[in-house]
Amino acid sequence: MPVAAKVAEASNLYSFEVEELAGDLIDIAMPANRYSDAASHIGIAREISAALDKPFKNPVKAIINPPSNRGILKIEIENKAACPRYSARVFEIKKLPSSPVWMKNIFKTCGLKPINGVVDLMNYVMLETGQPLHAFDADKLAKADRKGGAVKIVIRKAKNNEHFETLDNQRFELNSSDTVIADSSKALAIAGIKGGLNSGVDGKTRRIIVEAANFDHVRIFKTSRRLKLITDASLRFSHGLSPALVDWGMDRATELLVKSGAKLIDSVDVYPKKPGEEIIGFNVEKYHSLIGAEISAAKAKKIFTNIGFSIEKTKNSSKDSFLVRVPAWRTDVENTEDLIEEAARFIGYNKMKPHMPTVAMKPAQEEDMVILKEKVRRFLVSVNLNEVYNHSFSDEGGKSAVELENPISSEFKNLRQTLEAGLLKNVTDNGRFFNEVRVFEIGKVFRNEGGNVREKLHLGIAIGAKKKSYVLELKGIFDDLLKSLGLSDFYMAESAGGKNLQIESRKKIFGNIKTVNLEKGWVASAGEINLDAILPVIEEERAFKPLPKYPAVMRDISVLISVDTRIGEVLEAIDAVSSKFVEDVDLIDEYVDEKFDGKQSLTFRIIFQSEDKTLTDAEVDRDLSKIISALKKSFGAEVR
Amino acid sequence: MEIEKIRKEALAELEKAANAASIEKLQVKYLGRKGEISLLLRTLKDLSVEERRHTGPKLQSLKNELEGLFSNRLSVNKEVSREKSVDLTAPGKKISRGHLHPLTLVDADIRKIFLSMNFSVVEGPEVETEYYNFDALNVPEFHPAREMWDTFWLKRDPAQKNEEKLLLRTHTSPVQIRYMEKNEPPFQIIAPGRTFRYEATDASHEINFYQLEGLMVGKSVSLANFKFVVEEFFKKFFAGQKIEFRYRPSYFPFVEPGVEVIIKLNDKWLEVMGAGMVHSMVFEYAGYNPRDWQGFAFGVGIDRLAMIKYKIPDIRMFYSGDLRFIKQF
Repeated sequence: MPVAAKVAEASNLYSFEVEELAGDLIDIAMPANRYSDAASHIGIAREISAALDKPFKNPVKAIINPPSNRGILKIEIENKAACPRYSARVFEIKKLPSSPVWMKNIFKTCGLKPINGVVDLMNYVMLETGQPLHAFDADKLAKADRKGGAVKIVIRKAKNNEHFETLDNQRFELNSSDTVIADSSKALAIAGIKGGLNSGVDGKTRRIIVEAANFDHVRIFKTSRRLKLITDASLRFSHGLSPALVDWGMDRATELLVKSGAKLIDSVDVYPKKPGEEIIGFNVEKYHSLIGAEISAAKAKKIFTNIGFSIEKTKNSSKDSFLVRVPAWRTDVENTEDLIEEAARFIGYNKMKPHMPTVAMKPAQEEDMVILKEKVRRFLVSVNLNEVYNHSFSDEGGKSAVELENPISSEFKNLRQTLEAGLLKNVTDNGRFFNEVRVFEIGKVFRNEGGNVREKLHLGIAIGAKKKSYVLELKGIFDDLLKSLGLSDFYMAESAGGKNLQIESRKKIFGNIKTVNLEKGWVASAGEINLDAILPVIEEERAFKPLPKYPAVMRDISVLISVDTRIGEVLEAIDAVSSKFVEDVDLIDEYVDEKFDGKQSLTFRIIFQSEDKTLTDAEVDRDLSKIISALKKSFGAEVR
Repeated sequence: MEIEKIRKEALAELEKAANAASIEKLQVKYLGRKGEISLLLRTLKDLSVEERRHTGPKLQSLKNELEGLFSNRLSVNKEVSREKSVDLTAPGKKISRGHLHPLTLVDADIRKIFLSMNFSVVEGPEVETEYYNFDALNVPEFHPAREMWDTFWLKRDPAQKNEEKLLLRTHTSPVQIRYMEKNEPPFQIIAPGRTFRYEATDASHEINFYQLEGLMVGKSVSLANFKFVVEEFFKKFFAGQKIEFRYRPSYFPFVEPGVEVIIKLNDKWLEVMGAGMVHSMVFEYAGYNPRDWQGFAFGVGIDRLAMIKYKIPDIRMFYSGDLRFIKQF
């Protein structure tokens, strides 16, 4: 297998996902917690060596006893919280070196642009070690005094409204939440992000200041996002790097610069607080418990040493329990589970056998609303309605609209307050293909109530057809649905404006039904109810009702009544007669004719039934005449 | 006369006959081997020549008359019944019925499988607080880790009573915290629900979609237990298909170790799930002592599973409301 493929396979199995493999390019998806140790060639090499159980050699040679604090360069960190470490070295060069071809090729593969021999070297060392570096032309910086005076670099907060122009001519207005690298006269760079115009290295440079530093990741993250400026350096710093990386970056850069003819003349390293190394316990039993697979202490120790950790020799370590010293550059390993992960992933997650868990006998339950939704869906499908899912967004505004800070479009700038708009659109859209559109949706709607967001679960139904209204069918569907769910205590009444029907229970309105005229002559009946409101009042008990022992008697009566009289009122009037034998009243016909002169004909079918006996005609007629006289009295109705 | 009597009777009964069966019965009664006319014809030989010459032709013409009438009636009846009987090869009547949305069907399948493994089903709100969606799940603020999820933020209303920052949940993981705050372990739950991502829509991305969260917590719940549960689930969900599993190291701030589950179906490897062992910080936020409890958690995309199972090419179809699509299920 070719080397690149082998590396990619090992990375996929034990370390990180490889997104692309093309010639010399291996594109690795770096998890957000591993930038400090692995966002570099050294880091990946260490991972692959551990995965393939091969020896790893860090190419960085430590520079012993460099010339330091010679007075050529002075560093002052004003805001220490923003900059835990600042290391700088000064080099003399006779001329600007040119980048070797192999370095240019690596840049090409890694998507970096070659600039000049010094800047390229800074970038190369960043790719290799993971430590971002920056180079200044020392003679472009302000000095204490002209003749061989010390160059002073200050790390400070930017001033409010401080203007800054980058080396590629972008202009920014900074504020005190930003950190800058500055000399006595101006800012030279946005710390950890980008260098400025007029302080960079060019063909005339004879003295270089190399910066390898560490910056607080939160500040870098905030500045980078606010200025919308993301660079290789800001990317790494915002993920949080260890100050320990500075040593590798600086020493490697020193080695390569000296090789290219530069002379190191001074170094300063301001590192007030060196963080200690974590010492974490590892226990084989705990590994076994968490992973569900065995590991030997010896194997675990080997894995840890392969990735650069060391085993502490203490009196307290037993065969199965020992302490591990984690190097500073592994910022992601903080507790024993982190160690367990290191061991487990290098054993290989595919190697562990699945193991059936033991589970208590307490029966699993579904939440009440989950069960309710299921019942509602089953019912609606049984009356030939089709379920749709619409987006949760809408452009409906108003006082109760919940607005988004970052909407995806103006059509979707708020959250939906009802399901109706989506369902009506479904009717219109499907109208191209079907003569009748019958849809329902169960989904969340959102309202702003007094500054707070209220999320409710609604059921919406829409039935649309060309020139035909199904609103009474919809009324019947809601009626039967609510009864079948176990809600007995509800009624439907016209709203004040008469425009729709409101569904109420215990004086609270929880739904409505209305007719909507759409384009092209389509008529939609739409209804919506709040399921959250009815869940608490639903009574589950169903009791069997004995079948009638005695036959029912049916009587149809046709009444001529004013066209302005509401059918509901007539039904109420019949109900008010309170005949104990009236089982059901249904409207079976209604029509208006010119010759009726402002009246309508309504035909009602009344079912009479008694539980105790067969009703005689006389008994039925008596009740029927009570009903008829009530209608005559209340509405001046004529019976036909 | 006998012949006249028989004739009258036969015609009367034929008149009354309602269907082919009764007509055939009459045919047998009068014209059958033992029928009345046949019997009479046989008695002819007992008659004198004179009588035979008189009766014979009359009997014969009655026989012919009745044969004609019967055969007429039968053929008329046959035509009538041809009109009434149903041609079974005609197409069946087109039935209209309601259809559940494919995501509902898949959600029901998934719930059924997990219920059979004793996982309870719980839900959580779609509008979440920053706390439940990120902080309590150990996703740090001001760190690129939080940018793993592209978030829809709600505009803050100045009248809002508390300081919470609200968003549309980017995953169903917040339900883990909400459940643990109100319940004691050991337990195992799944939490399906709608989630949101601020990203451009295309064939595999939508701004709202469905995820399923799983969480199992106990004294000794392990990664090997997770493998068992998840493999059982996928085997049942894709029942009848050959399936292989791969696990890859992955990173989510709320699990440690973290893994990615990849399945092989029809010779294709598909990423389907992120998972891992619940991070100790998450237990602390939830109010559990991480020394006493351990557990696994996973998240899987329901739309994705539905697209794989039903070979649906474009996630946007789920939210199009197109009945030509929905009526296929």
